[in-house]
Amino acid sequence: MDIKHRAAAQRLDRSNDQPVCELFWHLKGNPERVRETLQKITQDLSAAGLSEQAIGNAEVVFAEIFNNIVNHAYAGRKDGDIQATAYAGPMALRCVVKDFGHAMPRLELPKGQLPDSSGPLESLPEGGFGWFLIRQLTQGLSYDRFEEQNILTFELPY
Amino acid sequence: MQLNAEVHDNLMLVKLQADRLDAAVAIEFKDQMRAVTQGGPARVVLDLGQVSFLDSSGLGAVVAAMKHLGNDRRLELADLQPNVEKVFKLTCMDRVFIIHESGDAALASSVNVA
Repeated sequence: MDIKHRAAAQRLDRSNDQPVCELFWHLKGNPERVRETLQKITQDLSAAGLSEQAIGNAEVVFAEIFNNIVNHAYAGRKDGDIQATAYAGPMALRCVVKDFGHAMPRLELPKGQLPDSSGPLESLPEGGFGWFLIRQLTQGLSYDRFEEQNILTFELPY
Repeated sequence: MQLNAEVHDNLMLVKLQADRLDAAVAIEFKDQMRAVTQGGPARVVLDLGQVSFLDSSGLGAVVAAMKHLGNDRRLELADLQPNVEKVFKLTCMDRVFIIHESGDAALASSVNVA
């Protein structure tokens, strides 16, 4: 295991508890496959015994991450591979999402500040909510770029 | 995805017939909203009761639909399901829209205003 992957794995295993179960999803990066995969994810998380609220949060987070990969990392392609793994630990779902597209600008995660919606009608934001939602609903969010892969790790508290 | 529009006196009730308002249908939704709200009453209520999931693309499309109505008309929302309501609340967009418990509640409020 290379250093970056080991670092990501250690982040997932930083407490000594044993994962209850491990789930894996693979999809091609386009809106139709994203939609199908989100439905599969909610089914699998339901089967794993997560609460409706935790499943709802996971669906929003995976949706925003996948959409970001489709629109930015794989901009202009419809067949880019996306891999997602989730380990159901006792306190949180620990997740890793990988893609093989363009790197994040400056190799940094977007700050994800809430767009300002206090102005007049014409100025209301129609986008820019994605990373804000991801940051609101996750903890321990981190990004690595290694050998042409984007690796996002995070936890979804139950 | 389909939009069903009914005109009640001074209010147009638009029901979105889809389980999901997401990146796969956001553009189609915006286009259809423009078409069905062309002309008609100043108040437009979008009933999202059938929608169990909305992502930020869907949220952006709802905002775009309101902006398209302009300053003389208004888009209101009705019957937000829990996971949809959560996205509106987290992003503070629940403060931008008037949100009714149901399409019927929106119609009742129309009587009060009139």
